[in-house]
Amino acid sequence: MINFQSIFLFVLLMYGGELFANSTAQDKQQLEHYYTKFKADIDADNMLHVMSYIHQLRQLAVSQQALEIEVESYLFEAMVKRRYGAFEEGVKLNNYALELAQSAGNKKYTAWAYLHLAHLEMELERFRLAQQYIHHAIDYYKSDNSEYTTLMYLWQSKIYLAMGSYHQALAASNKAQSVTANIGDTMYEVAVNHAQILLKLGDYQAAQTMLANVDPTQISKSQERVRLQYYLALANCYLQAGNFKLAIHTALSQLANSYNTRFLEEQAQLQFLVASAYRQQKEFKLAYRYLNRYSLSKDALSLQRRNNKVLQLEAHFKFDSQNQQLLLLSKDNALKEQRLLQQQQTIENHHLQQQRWLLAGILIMCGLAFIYWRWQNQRYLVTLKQQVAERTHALAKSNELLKTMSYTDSLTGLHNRHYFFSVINQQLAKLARANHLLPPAQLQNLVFAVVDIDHFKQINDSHGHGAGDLVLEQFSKILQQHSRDSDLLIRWGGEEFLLVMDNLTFNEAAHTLNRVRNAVADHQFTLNHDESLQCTCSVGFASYPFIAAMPELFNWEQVIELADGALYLAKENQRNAWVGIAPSTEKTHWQSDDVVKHYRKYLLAGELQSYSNITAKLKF
Amino acid sequence: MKYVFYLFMLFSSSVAAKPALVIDILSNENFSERYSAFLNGRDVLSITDFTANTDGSHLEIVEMILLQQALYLGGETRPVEFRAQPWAANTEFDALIDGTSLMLARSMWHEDILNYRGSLYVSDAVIEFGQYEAGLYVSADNLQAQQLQLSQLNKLTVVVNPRWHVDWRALINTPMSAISYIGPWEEMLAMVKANVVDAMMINFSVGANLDLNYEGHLFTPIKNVKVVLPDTRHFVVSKNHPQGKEVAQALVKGLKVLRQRGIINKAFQQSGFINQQVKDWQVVNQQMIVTKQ
Repeated sequence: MINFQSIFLFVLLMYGGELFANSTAQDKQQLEHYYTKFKADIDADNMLHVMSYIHQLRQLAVSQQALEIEVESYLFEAMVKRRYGAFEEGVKLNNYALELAQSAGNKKYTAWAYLHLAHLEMELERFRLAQQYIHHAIDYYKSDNSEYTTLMYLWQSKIYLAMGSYHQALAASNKAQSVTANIGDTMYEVAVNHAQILLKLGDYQAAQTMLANVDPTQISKSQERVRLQYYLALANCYLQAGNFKLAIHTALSQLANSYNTRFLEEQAQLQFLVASAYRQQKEFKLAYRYLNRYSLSKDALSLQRRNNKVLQLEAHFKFDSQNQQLLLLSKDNALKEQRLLQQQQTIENHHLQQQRWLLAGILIMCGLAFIYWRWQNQRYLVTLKQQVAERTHALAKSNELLKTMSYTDSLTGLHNRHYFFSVINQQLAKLARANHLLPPAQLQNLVFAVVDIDHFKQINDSHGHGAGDLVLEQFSKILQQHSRDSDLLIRWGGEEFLLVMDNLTFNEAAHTLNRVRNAVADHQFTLNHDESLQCTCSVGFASYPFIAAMPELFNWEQVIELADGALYLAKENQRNAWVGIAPSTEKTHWQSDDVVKHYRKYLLAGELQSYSNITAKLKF
Repeated sequence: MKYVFYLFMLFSSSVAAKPALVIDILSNENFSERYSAFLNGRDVLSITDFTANTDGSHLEIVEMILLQQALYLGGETRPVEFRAQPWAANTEFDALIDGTSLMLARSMWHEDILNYRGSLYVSDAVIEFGQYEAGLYVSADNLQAQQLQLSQLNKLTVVVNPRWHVDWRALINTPMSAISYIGPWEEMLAMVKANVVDAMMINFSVGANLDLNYEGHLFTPIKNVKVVLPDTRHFVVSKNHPQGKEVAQALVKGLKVLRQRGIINKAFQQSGFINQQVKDWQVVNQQMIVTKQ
């Protein structure tokens, strides 16, 4: 066993301090305690004792996240297991350590884990794997130029030596020696290893020179295996040089020292060396003795090796099958995940499909609702329109009614003044249109006649308003009877009526009005309670256009006022009479306002002329 | 069967006057006929053309010739007498150690004589490091193995005798799987023939396609692939033999002359031991040599 103790010590010294930084005080103390013990035991080569508390140490390390200590504990345990032949455990623990260091990204400890694995694989004679592992370790330490660089190259050299590739071993050993920072045991180990390679190449002189660099007093203090190998190499030098006595002496002393130790391989080599030397000295008995011992050692070694190989196969098989299982599991998981994903996808798709359908449904529903709404709306609109039409119609009707009502005098059923105002302009326009193309002699006109019941107040006073109303009703009937359809008959107000007649000459109008007057005078007005009375009416009238040649000179209001004036004249002069006013001269300049206002003056002046049934001369 | 034959080196008139040097050869490598055939009536010391006129490997014969030429050039003018010895294994050197045998007419792997260097004079390397190449011979009907590329060699199983330390070392430094078998060489070949294993490491055979015809069965090397046997080969002379020292001195001296004259390399090349046909083939265990340089 190489100086792993001291290597551990170095590593622990390097990292020991930092590791406790974040621990709680008590646990920290405990960990520190165990760790110190751990270091001391390794230093004292008290490996098996360490195993009694390695688990506590690891637990503490785990609880305080001291990853380096945890890794170290695994590496140490692996080393002990390997040393005592429990290779399966060794492989496992080393791989744990490697995984831990790798997962933590700790390159230094990864390198160390690789070194341990390389050592393990070398013992299991899986040299190619060992080379790969040591290569990783070298990669990390290559530029370090420290004792560890030497160590990694040394182990590479050892593996090459074990593989029988001596020149490669020599090259690696040269690299180990070229590292400047060499100190202590590793240096001796490198020298011994180098000598071993040289001896394999038969260069015992160079090997001897190399071994001469090693201080025998120092080598006696170093590890037992290194010491044994040193003397074995030295004895080999003597043997190859033909110095059999010295070879035997050197070998025998080491055999005595190492008796009953675990360094069986070195013992076997020493025994064979002694046998060879004795053989060449022709000491056949002794040669036989040592050859026999060698044979026994070799048998034991073969058994051990065979067992190791079986274990190695088992360990690797288990590790591989574990890995394979893990791989299978992970594949299985991946497959399951994939399936799950697929299922989720399917579900999602389903959801999506559902959502689509739902959306489509909603859209269709919306569409239908819209169409229904539109339909309803249309229907409603139609109904509304109908209603509107109906109402409009009703309104029109009621408007008509209202109009009729507003245009009709409720008592007599004749049109009222409003009606007159609403139609007079049309009448006048019609007249104007009719007159537009006619020659002056044939020009048509309208006759405005104001008819008033004589002494109506007296009737009201003596017979009551009811009687008055009856008189008015019957009076209006008479007027209606004596008027044509084309005439306008208006209840002008109170007992006053306006009769507008067209297509009548002045005389014809007078004649008609006279008939009216007579009819009234002749009529027996029936009242309630079989009463009756007689009354008369007076009529004043004038023609529109007042002056045929100048229709615009007197407007219809002025014509009515003139007719009214004529009515006054009829009343003042007689009653039960009619008076018409017309222009008498060919006068072209009229002051219409003045004429209306002072018609009596104009009558007197003769500019206006009156016509009447009153035979007496009219007083103005 | 013990077979002994004597070969007298005939030099002018003084032949009969000198006692012969007795040099051992291995009786199980009975090649007297091939030796005679190779000489084809030529004087062994005057041979400068080592071209083989028969198929197969001629290393043993070439070494025998070189040894004699070296001894003569080194001043050892006594005629050489070859004595066939039934050695149990060519790694046992009892007779040489004891001095009952002067030397062996074959070169030895250096690795095999390491522990006996004290009792043996070891010549300079006859075959230098990296010179000894072997092919991976497979049965001619094993087409699958013949088609393997360099990168696929991890699929190949190669039978090897673990007692042949150098072969063993060579193999474990390749990606191939070594199948160990301790037994006669012929049986190993039979294993290849029976497809128990894919291949066996054998010196390249002289002849068309480098094929090896053994008892009617054809073996052929995987093309473009060769293995270097990582060691040197040396002649050894007993230290305990009374003539050992002078013979060893003559040998060392003579070998130097042969080397200087380029005879050794020429002999290996002409005889087909260093085979020009495989000159550019890839060495599977190249790294074992490269590091040396």
